[in-house]
Amino acid sequence: MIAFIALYREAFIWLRRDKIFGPILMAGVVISLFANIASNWTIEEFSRILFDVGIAGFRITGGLIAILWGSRMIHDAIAERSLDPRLASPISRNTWYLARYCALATVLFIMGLAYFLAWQVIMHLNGQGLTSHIQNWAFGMLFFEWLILAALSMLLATLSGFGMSLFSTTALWIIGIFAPLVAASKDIQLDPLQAVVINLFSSIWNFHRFNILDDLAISGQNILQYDDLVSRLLWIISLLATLLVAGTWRFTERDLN
Amino acid sequence: MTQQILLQIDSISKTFRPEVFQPPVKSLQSLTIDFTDGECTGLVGHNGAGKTTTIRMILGLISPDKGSIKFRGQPLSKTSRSSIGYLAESVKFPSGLTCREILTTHISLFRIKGNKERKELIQETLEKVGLQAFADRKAKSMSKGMQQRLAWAQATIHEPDLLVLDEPFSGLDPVGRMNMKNWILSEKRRGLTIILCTHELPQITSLCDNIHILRQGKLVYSSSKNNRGGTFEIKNLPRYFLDISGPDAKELSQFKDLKNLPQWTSQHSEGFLLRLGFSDYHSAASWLSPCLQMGWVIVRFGDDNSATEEQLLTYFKEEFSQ
Repeated sequence: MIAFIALYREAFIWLRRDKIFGPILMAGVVISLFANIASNWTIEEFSRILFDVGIAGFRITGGLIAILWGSRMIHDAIAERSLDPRLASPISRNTWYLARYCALATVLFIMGLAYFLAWQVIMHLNGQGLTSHIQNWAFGMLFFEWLILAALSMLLATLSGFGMSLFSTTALWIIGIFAPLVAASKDIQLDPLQAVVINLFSSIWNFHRFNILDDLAISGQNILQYDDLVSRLLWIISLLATLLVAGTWRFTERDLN
Repeated sequence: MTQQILLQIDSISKTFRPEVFQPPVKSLQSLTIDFTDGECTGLVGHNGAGKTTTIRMILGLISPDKGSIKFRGQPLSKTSRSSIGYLAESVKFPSGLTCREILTTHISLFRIKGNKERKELIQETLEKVGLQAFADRKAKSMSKGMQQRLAWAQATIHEPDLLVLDEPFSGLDPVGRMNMKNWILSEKRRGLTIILCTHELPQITSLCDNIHILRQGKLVYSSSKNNRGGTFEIKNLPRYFLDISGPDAKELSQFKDLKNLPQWTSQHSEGFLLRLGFSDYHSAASWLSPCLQMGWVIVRFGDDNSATEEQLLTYFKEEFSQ
């Protein structure tokens, strides 16, 4: 446990002192402010625009930084060989990998919390009060999307280089957002093979499941059903576990030459 | 008293496939080396000879396709890695971390218990390498020499039994080299087993008790220092030299064939002199009379056991050019 904490702490300090940490933290807050301005410009419902723009900004900023850091954390350590003295010590590679992931998750959580607090300030300044219970859950679910993307980019970085990991994770993220839309569309004609692929993606890699506010708006409900929430959380946990197990397995098996 | 084998490399082989459509590259082929407890062993070879692959296998960073590596008779494990210290070729530290933070992380991995003990050990080690004033400075912002000091501190802070040094003199200025050499010597005196992988011949001859020469993943020569003058005994290594003034290399070659004289082991020119090296006395001596008959001047003839470095250099030049 001492080894895990030491490696976790090292990775956390590395991320916290990374040059892009400050700017990206500010970027999220600036997007929240922009969402506020944009919602004041429109003639539509204020909070709808605020949430549409703000959630998109929250999602994209956090998702991109999760992918970037996830890929860099593995790639830089291997390329610069700064992990060699660490792995030449009496620890398992799983410990190193999971400590890095946990450090990344912590930094993402801090960022998410900063965005969330900025959001509260905007809501309050516009006389909307604080976010509701369901809106809090919405932010929480989007944070899980960041965690999935971070785990995926780390896995892909163990399989390939930095660029490939960055590109592949982003591509899979876009597929996760668009595949369910294509599958649900009645206007798009698919041949049988395409239909199988699209349906497979939309069932196990459906990134719309992270955006509960969108689903609630479509269904006309304003309360998230308990069963639905549990089902989504179980899906997230199994996805996360699969990606982390695959990542640690691949990292343990590969040669670090 | 017989010395024990600390690390045993037994018939290890490794093949890498650099790109999907490229043919596989044999990095190591049935390599067998024993490392004796308390001795300093040099691993020598040209780039791509398999030195770094061997080192990375010892550290568990690369798995062999075939063969085994044993530490104190047991297969390599997490426990054996706690007795190994490692200094990498090009030292890179995680950015943003200070010297103290890097060492704190490192010793925490070696289960050195007690916060107070850890702090004391770090302070002591930083003083030993002269970095106490830079303890809270970010490692990445320090000079190459200072980073090398930190790397040395990291490699030795947990008092390992085996120290693996991959090109420790690379990129260091003369003062840095001297420091590094003194540190290695002091660990050697303490009885530490050292594996030294370097191109620096003066360091090999002065620090190592044994050398192993690798070429294309194979062990081509091994040698231990003999008792006489502390030189390495290498088969075919030029030990007797004949410096001739007069002929050029082509003329000399034709002369050798004409007179049916023994083949030299090494040959190189120094100004107007041609230096021929021979591994045995009789081959060298048989050239004397024919050369004098031709009117060529024998500037120097004799054995050269003390010039180990020069001999190795000559040998390596020929080995590496193949």
